[in-house]
Amino acid sequence: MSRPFFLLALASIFGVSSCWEGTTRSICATVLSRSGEVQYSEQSSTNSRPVDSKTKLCPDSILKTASDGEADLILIPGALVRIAGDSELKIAELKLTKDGNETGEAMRERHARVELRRGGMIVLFEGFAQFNIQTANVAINVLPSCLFRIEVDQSRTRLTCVRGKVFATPKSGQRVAVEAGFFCEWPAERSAISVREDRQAQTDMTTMLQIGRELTDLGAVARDRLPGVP
Amino acid sequence: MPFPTENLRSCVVLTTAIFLSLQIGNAQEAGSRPSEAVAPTVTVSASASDNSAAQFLSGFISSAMRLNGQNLAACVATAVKVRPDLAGKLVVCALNIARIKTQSVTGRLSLDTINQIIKSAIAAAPWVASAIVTAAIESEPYARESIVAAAISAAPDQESEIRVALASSSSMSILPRLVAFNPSETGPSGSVNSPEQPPSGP
Repeated sequence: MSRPFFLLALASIFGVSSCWEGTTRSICATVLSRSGEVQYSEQSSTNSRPVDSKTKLCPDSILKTASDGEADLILIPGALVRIAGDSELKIAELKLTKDGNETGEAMRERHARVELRRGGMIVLFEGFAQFNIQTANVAINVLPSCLFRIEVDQSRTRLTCVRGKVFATPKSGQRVAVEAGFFCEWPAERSAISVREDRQAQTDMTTMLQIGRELTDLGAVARDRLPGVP
Repeated sequence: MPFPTENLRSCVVLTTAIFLSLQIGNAQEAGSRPSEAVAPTVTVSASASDNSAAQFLSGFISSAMRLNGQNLAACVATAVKVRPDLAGKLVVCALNIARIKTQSVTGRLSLDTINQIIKSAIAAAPWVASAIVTAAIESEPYARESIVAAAISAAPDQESEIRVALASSSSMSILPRLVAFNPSETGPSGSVNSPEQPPSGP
């Protein structure tokens, strides 16, 4: 008696799942603005080219800024970053998954992974996505509604959080949560430290707030644009 | 003060949190962890001169980042009352926080939000109204008239000073040095990255 119901349930599950037509595509980061000297190189090329309004920073691209250079990017919708001077950023992976059968709420997943090899970046992240940043010392998992700064030099990585919460996993050590009003350095024995204990972090807070606002303004202009495709 | 009792209470708690973070930080263990909740009400005597501007601003930003609307305005009022010498910077920080949180499509804050912050700040320290107005207009030049009207309504005695500040302030862009690209120049040049494509022609 229960066998027909079981078969019906199985058929229903199969039928419903067959409606899923998820499409995953690699996308490219959009350059919102730049100042000073900013160059990039693509996956297949070792030649650096200057960044302009047509530049697409696709996966495996490497962006380099001179000491006087800065660039503002949208990695994926909601993930805005400013790359500081004297920095090097590799776009490792940018992906979107959409349900092609849906005309509304079609976005299923967003994924962004970048490597900050040197220099600094300020990140403003709103929305829902898997957003990871890799540095020499630490892997950072960014949660929604975050505003923070990362600085990388030859020996250390420093993260200062203004808004939200960020999880960081050092190469050797436990995962650490860095919340708003705290900063952390790696390699280091101490966990997150309040900004009140560090003059540089206090100054950074006000600067980051201003940059976060500028990124918000630039992001609003680009809100309805589709991401570039490789 | 036009705030409801509940907001005043939360503001007192926030002020205490700022004072705590600024005044008794050294007494805590050096490697303290972030705390989830706002500190309970504890009375701590504070002297403004003991704290650097950067310390106070960072404490304000940390607290204000958790607030919205009237609570944010109440927090600004409390901070301005404590440090009127930083009134302009505190108002700009509050406007920036509101902007980041609003995620406005137009890239602008609503005039209601701006007015709320301006009125609260000026009501807390009317004698620095001109500094607040100057800083606010530089931050939100599109709301110039609204800022002036809000300031005068909050401190009618300071109208002449506000008018002088208005005359001397210049409308400045907040992005003078960046080369922002025109979206129309950078739109997708190739095929649209969407499962829905336009219909093919006959």
